[in-house]
Amino acid sequence: MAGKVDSGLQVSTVYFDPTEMLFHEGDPPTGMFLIEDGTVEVFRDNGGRIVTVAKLGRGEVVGELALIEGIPHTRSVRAATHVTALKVDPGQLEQTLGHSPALIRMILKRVVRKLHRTNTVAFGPSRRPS
Amino acid sequence: MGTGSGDGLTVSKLYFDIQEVLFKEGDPATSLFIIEDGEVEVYQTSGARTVSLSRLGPGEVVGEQALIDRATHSRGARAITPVIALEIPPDQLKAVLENSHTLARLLLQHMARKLDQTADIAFGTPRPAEEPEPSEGVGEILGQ
Repeated sequence: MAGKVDSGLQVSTVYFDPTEMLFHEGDPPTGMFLIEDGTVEVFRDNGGRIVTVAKLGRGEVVGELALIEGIPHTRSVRAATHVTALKVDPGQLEQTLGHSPALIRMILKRVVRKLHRTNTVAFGPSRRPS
Repeated sequence: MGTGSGDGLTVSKLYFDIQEVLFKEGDPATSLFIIEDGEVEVYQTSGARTVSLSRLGPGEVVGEQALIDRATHSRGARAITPVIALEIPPDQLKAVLENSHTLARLLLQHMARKLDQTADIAFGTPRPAEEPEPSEGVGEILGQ
């Protein structure tokens, strides 16, 4: 199911059952998810031991760090309840930034890079992709 | 001194001597800075003691709390070498955000908010008692 929003930007509505994964730590980014309904768990898998980092709900975004930085996902995310989310594909994000002032793209990239570094300070380094 | 950025915006090029402060804790969070040259230390004062939290270099953003609802800086920033920085003042920031695609603007503000929260966790910064909540979820803005 696709929706058209805001000058041609296309987002898909996606549904997840409880415990279904949105993405795994180490996966290449396939998009970012805006949570419409339900709760997701953000966690790290330390060799079999699951460490939940956060629980996010309506209005929150996951997957954007990897998408914007062009790196593998730094955390795993799964649905804790039934989840409805809007998925923004990499191409659509590119288009969004392309239609915005260049300064926004620059600031966004730098804020995201800083977030990535600060995440490491706050929560420890991510596992490297296998 | 002003420099055109190509978007019709005016940013200022500022020079800071060693130890000169870009902003102190408690200062209004209005301008965003991008370091062009030199090194900036992010710090917090605890009584008479100054605690160094992180160091930022060329290309890095300083003062991203100006992008979100934080009225004042919770951490200070000062030059630890001679520093050249671009300052994007609040009216220019506002103009840039307003001229952006909705998703880009929301994404930027979301990321800046997340950065602020993560920095509080990383550096153990106490948060103010009342935190403004985002006025609407991203999903609502997109009208889905």
